[in-house]
Amino acid sequence: MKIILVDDEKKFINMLAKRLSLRGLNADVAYSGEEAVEKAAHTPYDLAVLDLKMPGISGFALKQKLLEMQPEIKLIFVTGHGAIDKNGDHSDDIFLAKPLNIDTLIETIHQTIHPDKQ
Amino acid sequence: MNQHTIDLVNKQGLQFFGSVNASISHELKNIFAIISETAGFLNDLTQLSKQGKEFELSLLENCSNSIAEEIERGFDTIRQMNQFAHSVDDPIKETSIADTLTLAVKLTGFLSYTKKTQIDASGTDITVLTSPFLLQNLIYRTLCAIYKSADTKDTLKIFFHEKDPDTVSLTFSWGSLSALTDFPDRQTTDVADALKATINFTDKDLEVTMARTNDNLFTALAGR
Repeated sequence: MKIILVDDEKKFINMLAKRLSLRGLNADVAYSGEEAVEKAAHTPYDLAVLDLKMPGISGFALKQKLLEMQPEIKLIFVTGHGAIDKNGDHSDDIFLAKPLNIDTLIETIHQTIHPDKQ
Repeated sequence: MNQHTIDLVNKQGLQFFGSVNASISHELKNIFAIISETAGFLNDLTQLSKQGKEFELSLLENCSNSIAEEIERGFDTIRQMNQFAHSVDDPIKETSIADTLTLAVKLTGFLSYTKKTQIDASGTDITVLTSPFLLQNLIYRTLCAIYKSADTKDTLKIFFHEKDPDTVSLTFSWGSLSALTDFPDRQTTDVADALKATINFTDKDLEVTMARTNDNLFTALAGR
């Protein structure tokens, strides 16, 4: 399984990547939407974990770009916002709130990649 | 003017207060997220150690340093939140332009679209007898509009000086003024009017000029 973590909080995703690695999930990291697009141009990903609010390309805008590049990619949004409007275009999106629980994240990753195994 | 100004403070001021506090809480959540992940990683290392696995001690040191840095970042954020919260303590008071600019730049620093900003503090500070909260509101709105329009590489430079004994001038200078459209909007114009401030565009800059005293604002906010 190939994962990319995208967040402008470098320490946060670096630490998250280390913790996922200890649990057998290797993840690339990108510190901006632009860097994620660049990496996605060369590497096929099964799943992207995206911060919603980033300088430059926002999480929702990045979702569109990644889906155009890799239509099969699955997405999980991570946000520091308290309330998430899941209406309209975002009703099917998966959101996790910061701070994350690593077990919840891993469970969500597996459920997102393999929804039929729930 | 009086009722309009009071309405402005009550309605729009509350929106502004909420908006700033939302960005601060977002910043604090990011800080807690880093601390939480780092603490989790320390726990992971503890479990590995119990299983007899070895790891570099520098990992512990890095985690400890990271937590200390984030706690300092959190304290700094809370100091700014506290300073902003106290801007409503006095409806009217002698207000430092340098301090107000510095706080507004720090508060907008929590926004995802913030840009690099320099305040020219080479001159002496200037005070105005005004509403610190409304002044903070006007500067914050101006910064947000510029940041949204400016190129990522642009550095915003802010200068202020006494234009004449009764007027203060704040100049916002950056690379691509032409990109700033629809500014000032209605809400910003309302705030500027209440402060007896005007917003003008020059060739390359945006200039906010403001009266150093404001009798109408006294009457409306302080009942003088």
